[in-house]
Amino acid sequence: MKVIFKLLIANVKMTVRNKQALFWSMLFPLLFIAVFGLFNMEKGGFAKVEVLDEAKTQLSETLTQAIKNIPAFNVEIKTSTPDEIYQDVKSGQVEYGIIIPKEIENLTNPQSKIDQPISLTLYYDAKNVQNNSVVLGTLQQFVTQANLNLSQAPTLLMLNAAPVEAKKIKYIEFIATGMLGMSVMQYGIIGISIALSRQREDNILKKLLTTPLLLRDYIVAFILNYLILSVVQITILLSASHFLFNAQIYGNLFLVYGVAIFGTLIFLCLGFVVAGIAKTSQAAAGLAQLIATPMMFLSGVFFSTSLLPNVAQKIVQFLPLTPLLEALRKVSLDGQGIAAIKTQLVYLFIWLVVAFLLALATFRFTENKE
Amino acid sequence: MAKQGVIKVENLSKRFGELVAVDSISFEIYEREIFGILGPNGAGKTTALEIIEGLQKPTSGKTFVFGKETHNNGRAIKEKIGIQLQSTSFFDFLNLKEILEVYGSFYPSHQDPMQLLEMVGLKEKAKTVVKKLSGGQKQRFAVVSTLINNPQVVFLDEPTTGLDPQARRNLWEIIETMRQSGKTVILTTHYMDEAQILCDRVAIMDEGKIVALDTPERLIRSLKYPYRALVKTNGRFPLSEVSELKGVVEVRERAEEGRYEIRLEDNLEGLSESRKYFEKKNIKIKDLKLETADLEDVFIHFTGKRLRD
Repeated sequence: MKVIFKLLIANVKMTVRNKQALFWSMLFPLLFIAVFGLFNMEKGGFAKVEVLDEAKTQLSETLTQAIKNIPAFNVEIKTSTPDEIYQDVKSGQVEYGIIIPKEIENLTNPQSKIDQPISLTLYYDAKNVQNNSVVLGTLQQFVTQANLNLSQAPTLLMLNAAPVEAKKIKYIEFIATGMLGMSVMQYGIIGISIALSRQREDNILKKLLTTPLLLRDYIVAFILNYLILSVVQITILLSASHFLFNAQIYGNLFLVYGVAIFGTLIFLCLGFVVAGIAKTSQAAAGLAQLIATPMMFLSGVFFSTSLLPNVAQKIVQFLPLTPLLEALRKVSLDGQGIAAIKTQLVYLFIWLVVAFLLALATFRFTENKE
Repeated sequence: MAKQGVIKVENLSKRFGELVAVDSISFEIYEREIFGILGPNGAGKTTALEIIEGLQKPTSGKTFVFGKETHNNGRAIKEKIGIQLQSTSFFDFLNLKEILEVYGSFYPSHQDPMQLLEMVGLKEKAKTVVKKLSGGQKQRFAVVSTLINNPQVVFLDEPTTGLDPQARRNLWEIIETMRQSGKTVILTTHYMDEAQILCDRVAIMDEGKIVALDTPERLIRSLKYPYRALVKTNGRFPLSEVSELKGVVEVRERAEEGRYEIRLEDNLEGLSESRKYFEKKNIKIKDLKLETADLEDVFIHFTGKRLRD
């Protein structure tokens, strides 16, 4: 026990003093979170709109104000000519251009006779299909409403739209759990395999074999150090995404930690496997990247695996990161309990057993002499 | 006083596939001696050493340390021996004192790290990491780290390879101190001067076999030509005429113009015979140096090749 404790202290010291590795394992996932947090995905629906008010009457100003109040619009009032508005849309500077014609003043002038409808002009990019339906719909509704008001027809039917305040998962919350899984995986597969193969390459492990130290004790201390670090890493990630970007955890925090540590153990074993297979630390780094990178993209770190083609979905569900992320998100985002993640836990457990056996079979302390 | 055997090697062989790294060697190492295994790279020195230490398994044969078979008593033996590997790095990001403390914790009791560091002149470097040490300092640290458990037997695998002469002499002193404090030291080297100066007995190894084993003096004495005269003359002469003189074993022309190496028998009669010959031929000796043969000559004698090419 005393030996394990001494080794653990030594390991912790080495980890903390290795500033560069610490940076990559702790701060790199944070950078991801920062990038995704700052780049506001919810802002995506904003449409840039230019409005040219040629009438400058009370009515046209009310109209302009009403357009400004449409939430999806980012409105700029222009004083140019209709042609310039047209050019702005054509060149893509703005997505929509609305022109309120001078004739609109006739609407409020009792003397004037309106023999044909006055038209509001809307320039828009025909290719922008998704936004167009929203904008055209909004304006159409706006015009209809204005018509009804102006003709002073009684309102007989109205839509009572009752919005319900639904829980909306923010993208940063989705990404934060993704990062949690990703950093646990990367630190395990990449960090552990490089550290171990380097210790073997430098004959540090062989030197240990010259002493009466039980290798079991060394491995236990090594793993404990790694788990401590993992908990620190999880805490930093969760607190950063919560305090900086207000990402919420809807489920049990301890269950989130539990699931993440379960995943940690799997990737730790895989790190031993990679170190066992690779002959040099450089080979280990390459092999680890080869395993970790596709998993990062396929297992749903950045987007849901439901966006993948069906066949691919069937395959990626067998990767260890996929059930880990699913379980993390079910607990963290959907607020579910342990019962809801049974399937994922079974997959993870199978992975743990397989990875552990592989590690036992492949890992070696000294370089094999051929 | 009867010599106490500390290490015994019996018909030890090790094969890696087709390659025979160690070919049926046997020897015994006694208490408080410095025993050298001398040989070129690839002779099987390290393999033999690592089998005795218990780091590798023999293909056949047995090794004993303190009378116990190495491979059944790994841990018990490791508590009483110290091993310096041919190339080891130490943990990054731990300073010298911390590294020694960690290694010390592997043993039931251990030496004071600071005392050890002082012994090899690294006391001021106690808070330094290994990476920042010079080559000689690193090697001194590697050697002293084997003493953390106050071992009775110390294994040093090429302790001075790659060091400058100053650093090598420095290490020789440290190794000499080990013997004085009652330890048995087994070292491998491919420097014959090191073996000659440091070792009480030397085993010369080549291609997995021990070709000779004795004290350096006796090995040299056993040569047909324990002396050699290095002469510089002002004229050339037929080599065969001199080599046929009484007491002369062989004459070689050195690369430098007018310089010759005359190998002489133990009685040195060949030296006066050669001088007589030169006088008769009216050849002037411009320079003469008499040297004793060294382990390099022993090596050439037994293997027919030079130690380092």
